[in-house]
Order: sequence, then structure tokens, then C-alpha cells
Amino acid sequence: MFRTIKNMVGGLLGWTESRSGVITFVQPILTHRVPRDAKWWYVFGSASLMFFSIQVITGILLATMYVPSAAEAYSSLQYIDQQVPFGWMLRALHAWSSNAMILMVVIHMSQVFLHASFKFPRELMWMVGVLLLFCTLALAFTGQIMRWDQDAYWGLGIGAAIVDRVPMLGNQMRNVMLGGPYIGGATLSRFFALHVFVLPGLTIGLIGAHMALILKNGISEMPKPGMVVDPKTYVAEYEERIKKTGVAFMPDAAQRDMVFCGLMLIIVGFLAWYLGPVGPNGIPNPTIIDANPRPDYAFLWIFTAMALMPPQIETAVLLIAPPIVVLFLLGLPLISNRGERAPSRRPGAVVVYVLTATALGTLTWLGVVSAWSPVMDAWTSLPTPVKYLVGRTPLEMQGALVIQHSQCRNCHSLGGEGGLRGPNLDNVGSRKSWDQLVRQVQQGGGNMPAYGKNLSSAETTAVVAFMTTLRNAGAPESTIPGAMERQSSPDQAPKAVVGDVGQ
Amino acid sequence: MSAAFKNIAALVGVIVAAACLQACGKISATDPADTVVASLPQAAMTNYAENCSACHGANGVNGAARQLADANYLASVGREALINITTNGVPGGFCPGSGPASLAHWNPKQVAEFVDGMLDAWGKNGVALSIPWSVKLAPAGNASNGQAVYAATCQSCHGAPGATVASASGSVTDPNYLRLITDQGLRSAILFGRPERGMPGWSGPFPHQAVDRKLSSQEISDVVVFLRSTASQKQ
Repeated sequence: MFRTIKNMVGGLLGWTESRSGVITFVQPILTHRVPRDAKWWYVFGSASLMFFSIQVITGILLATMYVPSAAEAYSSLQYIDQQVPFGWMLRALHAWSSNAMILMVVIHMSQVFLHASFKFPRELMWMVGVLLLFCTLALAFTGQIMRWDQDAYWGLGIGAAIVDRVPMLGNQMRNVMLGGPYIGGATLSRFFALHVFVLPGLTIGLIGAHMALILKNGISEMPKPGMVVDPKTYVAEYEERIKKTGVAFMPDAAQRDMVFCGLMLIIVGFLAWYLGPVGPNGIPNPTIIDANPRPDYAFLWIFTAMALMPPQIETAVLLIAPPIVVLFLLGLPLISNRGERAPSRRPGAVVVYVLTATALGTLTWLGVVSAWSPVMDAWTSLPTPVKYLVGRTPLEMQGALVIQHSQCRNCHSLGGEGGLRGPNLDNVGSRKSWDQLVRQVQQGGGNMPAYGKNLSSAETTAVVAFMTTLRNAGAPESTIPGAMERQSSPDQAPKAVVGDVGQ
Repeated sequence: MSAAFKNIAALVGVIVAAACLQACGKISATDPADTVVASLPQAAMTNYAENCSACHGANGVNGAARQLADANYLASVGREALINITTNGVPGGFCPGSGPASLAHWNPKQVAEFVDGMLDAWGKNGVALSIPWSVKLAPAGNASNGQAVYAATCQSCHGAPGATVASASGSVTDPNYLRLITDQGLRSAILFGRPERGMPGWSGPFPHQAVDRKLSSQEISDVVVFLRSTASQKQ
């Protein structure tokens, strides 16, 4: 019996092989030799590929339920989240696996850059890889549009505004991007086409090219100081070393890929289950002005840069910087395709990398905090910290009300809550004297608007009286002398003990 | 080998940290303040946290403005007036109200639900005052009578008018304070006190007075008129 089955399977395989040559094709791929020292540093490319595969599978399943029309996209997402069994998990996996894919691609690229694996003869691999990076980011951006919520709407709006700045062609380019002069049903349709047909197809093709080039050129070895790349001799030397010390990809290197990919899969599965799907947030309606749109993680750094950039250089930076970055990334292996590979011998490259990573990390973090943006509902929703009300006089209590009512806390935090746009007020009484506070409130300055016309003298007096009580335990009242006479009132006279009773 | 494992551990850390960030963002974006008294109905609780808690305190107490979790206050003012205040705010005061014309845009149904939720959660067993709470229903006051009542009941904490030494609880004759507080605010403060700040209401006990000393509606009107007169004298 067993023998019969074995014969049948063998016969089937032989039949297929003789007509397709599939085994002859696959076997050398699986057993191609890789450097022995290619260890855990080399797993990130495989992990990127795995996450892309998950994106394809979950994406196809989502496409069976998602309705790419402006009227129904939002409700179809809610349907997937709430009605379809495990639909929420499908969306969560798609979202978190996309974040993980971007992270893996970035780490993979960092490793290749730091180890200078892009040097001869792997220049083309790097270039294809750069294109894959752009495809990944484009997939992430268009995927964010698929949510068709406030984030999507304003993300598109900002994208369109950037495109619009291109000289001469800006209007036409924006029309092509949005399918008309404004965001509408045609916009979603074309981004859907990009997200599910054009970009995945392009990505699959580029991945194929990337893999073919790996087989052609082999995986680079771990860099060693002094082991220079010389295009004249490199290929022969590499093949010699690989023949001597290399190991077969399957199973020696593949098993590490599998362990790492399995681990990542468990983590992303856990994240998807624990954190759930991303969005959809508020409905995409431009008349809702209390929207608080934020781009996804991969684009937070752009969000920050746009927010903090001086307006007069915006157009120049937006039009000049991207081509420079693209040209630098694509041209990198042409500029430098020989010589040392070890990071210790390439301090310039390491500095460039560290600076770039720090800048992107900082901009991303600032985007998460977005301190430049007032907290628009702080004045109605954040209670005055109770410790700042204990032992205060009636006038000071009125001052606390002025702080809330005049929306000071949208920009100034109290007790760690409120906007970060202006300095926090927790210890303002020991930083500024009565007179300075009056001047600051009335005349503004340092990015603060003047409130002289908006507050009555009684309100100003009350709010300043309250602020002078805001001092850290033991901190003295600021005594910088000012020109103004303090008005005589018992509550405004210096007190023996004014303190932050709660602290 | 171990260095490689460290790198991977760092990577895992980054992923987890990113996830935590996302989680924090989600929670702060969607959660209404969970510190509000739980017995307020859900919708009223959310509305309170978003529109009232800044001044009236997270639990209806301990805010800079009047304590709302005060059963006697709620019972004395009554549902109709509470709906009016919630809708239109306090004329001349800081409270902007939450009605259809305000930034909060509550519709009449939401206002009614909120007031009923408040009465239900914070107004249980409240005893309505036997004297009118509203200045509109109060008798006209007399400043010189008010001065005597002030000296007997208020001065020990709030100081004599025009005093140059800070009083224990702060001046209520400060002209700036008097410009910011309405007559109703003064009357309500005397009637209901500020229990969370240690100020007793109209029935005392006031320091240096018999425990059961109660101010009459007339006496309270007199004090309010007297306080106003101190400000106008200064000006």
C-alpha cells in the first residue's frame, strides 16, 4: 500500500518535473551557498517579505468585504469590524503587519547601509531595494486613505496641497491625484486602484528582481575592517570564499529566518489582538472643525517638519528636498561602490546614518506629542488641579475661573494637563513677579497673544492674583521689581505663607 | 552571537514601545474622563467631563466654581432653574452654558438628561431651603443693616472692609472680586456656603455665633447690598 502511494507520488512528481523543470529550478535556489557568518543580522529582509505576504493575504480577504466608494467605505469598515466574525482581527493584522513591514524594511535598509552591502556588485540590488522602500511607503499612505476617515481626508488634503505647489503643473497634478479639483468619490477609487492593483503588482515585480539579484550576486559577507571591495577582483574572491566556507541557504540560514519570522509573527499577532484595528476615526467631513487628524507613524516626521517649518521656506523645501533624497538614495552605490565596508572604517557614513535616524526619530516623537498644537478642549474639560485651589482667596478662585474661561490652558498646562504651546503655569509665581504677569497677560509676547482687550482689569487682577500663588513648595514669590504700583488690597499684599498647600 | 541577540531584543523593544504609544493615543483620544462620579448616566457623564468639569471639578466638587454635587443646592434651585442655568449659563458670570446657542451645542433633550442625571446622582435627600435662593425673589436689602450682619458673621474670616492685613479666608470686599461675582453668586455663596472649602452656609455654624444662628432672607439681601456698597465707595 505504502509503496503504491510512494510510487504514485513519485510518478506524479516525475511527470511534472519532466514537463516543467520546477525542481531543477527551485533546488539551486534553496541550496545556494551563503556566507557562514551571515547570521542574525540577515533576517530582516526575510521578515519584510513575510510581512508583505501577510499584507497580500489579509488584503485580499479585506478586498472581498471593503466597498471602495466614498459613500460606503466608512460603513463597510464598521461592518467588517463589528459584524464579520474576526473581521476586526483581519483589519488589525493588516494594519499592524503594515507597521511591522515598514519597521523591518527600515532596519533591513539600515543594516545594508551600515555594512555597505550596496557596494560592488550589489548596486542594482540597493536601487531596487530603494524602489521597494518607496513602494512600501506608498502602500502605507494609500492604505491610510482606504480608512476614509478624518485622518485619510486631511492626509489627502495635505498631500494635494503639496502637489499643488509644483510650479506650472501643480493644478493638473492635483487634479490627477484627486480625480478632480477636490476630494471625492473619484479620489477614493483611484487610491483603491493604486493600493490593491498598481502598487502590490509593482512591489511583487520588484521583489522578484531583488531576489533574482540575490541569487545572481550572493549574500554579502559580514564586513571586516581591511577587507576592501575591488570591482576587479571581488567576484572571483567572493566565489572562492563562498565555495570554501559557505553553507547552504536551506537549512543553515533559512532556519534563523524562520525563527525570527515566527517570533515577529507572534508579536504582531499579539499586537493585533491586543490593540485592535487602527481607525476608522471620525467621519471624513470637512465641516467638522474639531477634528484632530494625525498621519500614521511612518509619516509623522513629515507632519512635524511641515508644522515647524517657517512658512516662507515651505515650498522650496517641499519641492527640492524630495528629489535630493531620492537621488541620494538611488545614486549612493554609484558614488561609493568600492573600498572599505566595515562601519569602523566609514565614520562619515555612520555619522550620516546617526544624524538621519536621530532627526527622523525626534521629528516622529514631536509628531506624537505635537506640542505646537493647542489642546482645544482643555478649557472646558480639564479640571483645575485641586491642590491649586486649597487655601485660595475668593479673588484667586475667580482668577482660577478666568484661567479656564479665557482658555489659557489650551496652550498652558497646569498640573501636567493642558497645551504645551506655552510654558506651564505650575511654578509661574516664582518665575514672574506680579507686574511681569500683568504685563504678559495684557500685552502678550513670545508667541502669546495680548489679552489686554479681552480681559477686564478685574479679570486681569484676579488671574494674576491666582498665578502668583502657583509656586513650587518652598519657592519664594518672584520679587523682580517692576514699575507698576501694586494696587492696595489686603489679598494682594505680600503674605507670610502662600504656598502650594497640596505639594 | 550574543550581540546579535541583543539587537533583536532591542528591536522587539522598539515594536512593543511603538505599540504602547499607539495604545496610549487611543485611550486618551476616546475615553471620557473616568474620574466623574460613576452614577451620572453615561451620556451626562461624558457631557459633564467635556464641558463642566474644568470649573466645577472632576466629581462635581473641588472646582474653582460652585460645587454641584450638593444635594441641598440642587434641591433648592430646582429642576427648572437648573435647566435654565445649564442652557444659558450665568449672565454676568463665567459660566457660558451648554445650550443650543453655546459652543457645547447640547440640545434641550441633552440638557434635560444632564440635569436629571445630576439630580439623580448628586441630589438625593436634598432639602430645599425655606427662603428664596434667587435674588429675583429676595427682598430688597439695606446696606447699614448688612454692615452689622457682616461684622457679626463674616468679618472673623473675611476681614473688615478696607483692612490692610490679609484675612484668614481672603477678602470678599476686594473691588476686583466684587466686579467678577454676581449678586446671585454672592447670595448663593452665603446660602449654601462652600462646603468643600470649609465655608458654612446660611445656617452656620459661624465662628463666634450660636451653632443654630440662621440668617434670614432679608439679612442675606442686606449683606449683599452692603458688599456692593463697599466697592462703590472705593470707586
